[in-house]
Amino acid sequence: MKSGARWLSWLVALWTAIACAPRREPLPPLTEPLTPTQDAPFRSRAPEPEPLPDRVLPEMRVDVLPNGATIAVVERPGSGLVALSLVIRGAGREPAGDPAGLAALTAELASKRARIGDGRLLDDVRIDGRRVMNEVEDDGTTFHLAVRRSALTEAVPLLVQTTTDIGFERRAFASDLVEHLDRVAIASHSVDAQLHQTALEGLYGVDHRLSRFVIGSVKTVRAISFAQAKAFRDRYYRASETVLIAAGDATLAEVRKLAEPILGSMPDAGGPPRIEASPRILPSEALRPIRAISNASAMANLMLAIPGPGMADGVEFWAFRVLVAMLAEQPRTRANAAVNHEHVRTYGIGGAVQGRYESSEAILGFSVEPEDVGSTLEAVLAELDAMQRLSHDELDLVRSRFLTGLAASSARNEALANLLAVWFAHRLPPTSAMALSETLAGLNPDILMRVARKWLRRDRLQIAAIGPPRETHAELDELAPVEWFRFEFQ
Amino acid sequence: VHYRLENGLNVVLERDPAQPIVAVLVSYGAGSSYEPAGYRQLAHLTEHMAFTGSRHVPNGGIYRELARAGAAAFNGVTTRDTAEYYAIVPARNAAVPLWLESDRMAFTLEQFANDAFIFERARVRKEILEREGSSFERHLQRALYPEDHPYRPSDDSAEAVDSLELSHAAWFFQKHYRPDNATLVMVGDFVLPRARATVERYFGPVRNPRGRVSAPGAAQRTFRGRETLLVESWMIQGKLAMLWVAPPRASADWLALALMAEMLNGDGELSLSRALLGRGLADATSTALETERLSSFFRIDVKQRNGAGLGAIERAVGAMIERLQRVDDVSRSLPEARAAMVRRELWQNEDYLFRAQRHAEDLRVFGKLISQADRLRALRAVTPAQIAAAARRYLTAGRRLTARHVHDPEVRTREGVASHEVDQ
Repeated sequence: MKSGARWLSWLVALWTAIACAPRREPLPPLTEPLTPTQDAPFRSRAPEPEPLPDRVLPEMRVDVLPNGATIAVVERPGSGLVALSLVIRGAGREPAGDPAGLAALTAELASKRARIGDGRLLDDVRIDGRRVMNEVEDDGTTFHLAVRRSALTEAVPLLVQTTTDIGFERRAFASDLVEHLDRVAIASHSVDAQLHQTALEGLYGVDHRLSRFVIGSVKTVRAISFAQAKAFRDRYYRASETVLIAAGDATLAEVRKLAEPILGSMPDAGGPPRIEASPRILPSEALRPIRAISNASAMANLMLAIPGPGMADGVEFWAFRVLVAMLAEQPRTRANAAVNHEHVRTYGIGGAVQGRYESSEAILGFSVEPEDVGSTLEAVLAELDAMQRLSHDELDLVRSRFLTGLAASSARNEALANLLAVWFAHRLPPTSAMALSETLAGLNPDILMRVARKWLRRDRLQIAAIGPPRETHAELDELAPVEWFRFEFQ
Repeated sequence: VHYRLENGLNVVLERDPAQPIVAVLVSYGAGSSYEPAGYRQLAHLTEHMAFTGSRHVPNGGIYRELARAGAAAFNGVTTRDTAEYYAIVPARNAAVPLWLESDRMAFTLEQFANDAFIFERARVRKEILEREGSSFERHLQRALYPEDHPYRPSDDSAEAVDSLELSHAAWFFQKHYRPDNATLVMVGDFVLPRARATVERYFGPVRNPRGRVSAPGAAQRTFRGRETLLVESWMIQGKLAMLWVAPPRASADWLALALMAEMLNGDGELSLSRALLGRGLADATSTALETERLSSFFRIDVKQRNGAGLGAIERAVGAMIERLQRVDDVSRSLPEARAAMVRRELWQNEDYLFRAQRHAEDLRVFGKLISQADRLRALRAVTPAQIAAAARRYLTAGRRLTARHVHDPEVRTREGVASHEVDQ
């Protein structure tokens, strides 16, 4: 650049800096005293908290129809609202031999294409402006509908209609498939979804059923045929695997009376209940290679997938669940404290546990500036190691918060119906839901440290990253070999 | 019940024993619109400082005390109009958040420290970088609010927060965190006389600093004609946003526009997503009534389907707006939209924190509490004719802002390029 042009560019830069500098008046000084309020003895200590109630979940009444279908109702007269959930156990994420997304597409078809008594399709029926929604998890499929009590007579038959075979129509299949494909395409663009899949592929293997999106990929969903969806439905939508849950202003007797004409005629063909084997974790001697997706963003996103026990393991699962809450689920967690106070590298760490009957994973995620990715990750891993040293106080804090959260959500009809749906989908006995507070009360630091030693180990977890390779590779490579690749939208 | 303490603190106590919990909320008139010119992000940073410790709850002890009390949720949130602090605790421990919040209000400023400030400033900066959203939205907000408007976003939020100092946060706290600029709301399972006595014990002695606080004012933005904002950037998703000026929350027409938004969001005859997705024009649509203290807009957002033309989307939206202006079209869709809003109203009522936030909002907007019965009565009273008339009055083709985002791989800057034109 010629010197004249350089001067000009500097002048422009200087002018821009001056013009863009915040224009502001100085603020007035503080007024004295800073604390005009008189202190008082009662302010010196917080009111002593009272212990939590022994039981946080309300009583549930359960009835089983002759064909094996279950009806479970939490009766709360007077609220004027009823939340309904219909769980089909075993109709969750499809087995490895089926195309990914088959369970989700089948649920979509069931909640839209079933035909009700007057000939209308479910998709065209609204109660209070809402239609039946579905949710597919690993262990089951759930259909939801929350209504005012005045609409109960209409809502219960409508919801259980999803279990019938009437109107599961071939001619509408093509357009439903296209609509589902659109959802898949949009969802698969999410950074979190890509990271999640990448981490689980490292943990379980690329072709494992748990490594795939529940809603499938564009490639797998496009290949699903009507016959496959129908066969999936015939195989897994069975009476003995079906549970209708109602929470709110309804009695067991009236829910049964409304549901039985349809639910009671549901077939119960097929073999034994579908229960998946625990996934085999690929062996590793130390930290396994980091799977990294190349991306030109300004931030790096990281995810740690840590395999855990299944919900059927009872105390061990809940100990794992509490450990992850301590590590990364609360505003002031160990991992947050370690990372933020020593390095100030990331805003915070989010954590969750994906629980299933036979296995689970803890997922920890955070975003960080690319040049700090290595030190931040090392701080998180060090905190993972440190989970093997716990105190009673720490456990008490997390446990009480956990129980209050449970009490708060179970007090709301919709949240309670969802909670019970999860419980039934995981094949856990209803009595264990009622006894959850006792299970949590029975945890102690020794149990937690034993579970931490077994599950929170560097040689068991998988790290996935998305970020710019040039800025992050060296940082990551100091911890473990890095496998870079581009995410393929299939 | 709603009453004021002698120090000016608004108190709302709503007893509902249906759930064994209590939601406690303290809402201050201390949102970002209260920041003086040139001090953007000060409200948010002060909210962070308000968690760093007070005389009797030093050094982040607030987290420990709330955890000991079994808090299911707690946080602080800064919006344009308010800074709010809340906690949901078991009913029997309701006194704990009251004790904590009174200490925050009365004994925090003296504890402001520079090391905590530097740490929180870095955290706020990271929050900004992580949550800053799209450049399209930032350009749109700048097009909506002129340079001196309290809602106008800063050109560079990260730089703005870097320029703040501890003394600024201390000034903001002293000016706005005071009983006569706050509302305390409790919703849940408590014994009313005991709750009232506890509130009086903890908050009654809290004194206001000298001076008074007043809310900043600004005129509602109006559109002088058809305004067009074009944003070109490397972001791939094409977008369209259409905005009209809407009436304030307290206006009789507001509910009519809320019902219109419900119709466009719903699945009925006037469903915008059905119309656009069904014709292969869009991937998603949403309609909202964005009403705050100093502005109110009716806003439609559309994510363009790859290959669809933004012009075709705009025409399709325009056609749907015309239908909203016809009484017979509205008549057919109104029952479903109204039922959906009634239903939402009833379900939201199960959420005690939501109720607490709404009580605080009612006091800000209406100066009084609105009962659920009155809310439902007002909703049921809106007629198709009122809605069609409101659509003709507010959703006019000649006075609106249409913002388009267009992908341009040649534009390399993070913010993209924007041009704003007015066709009068």
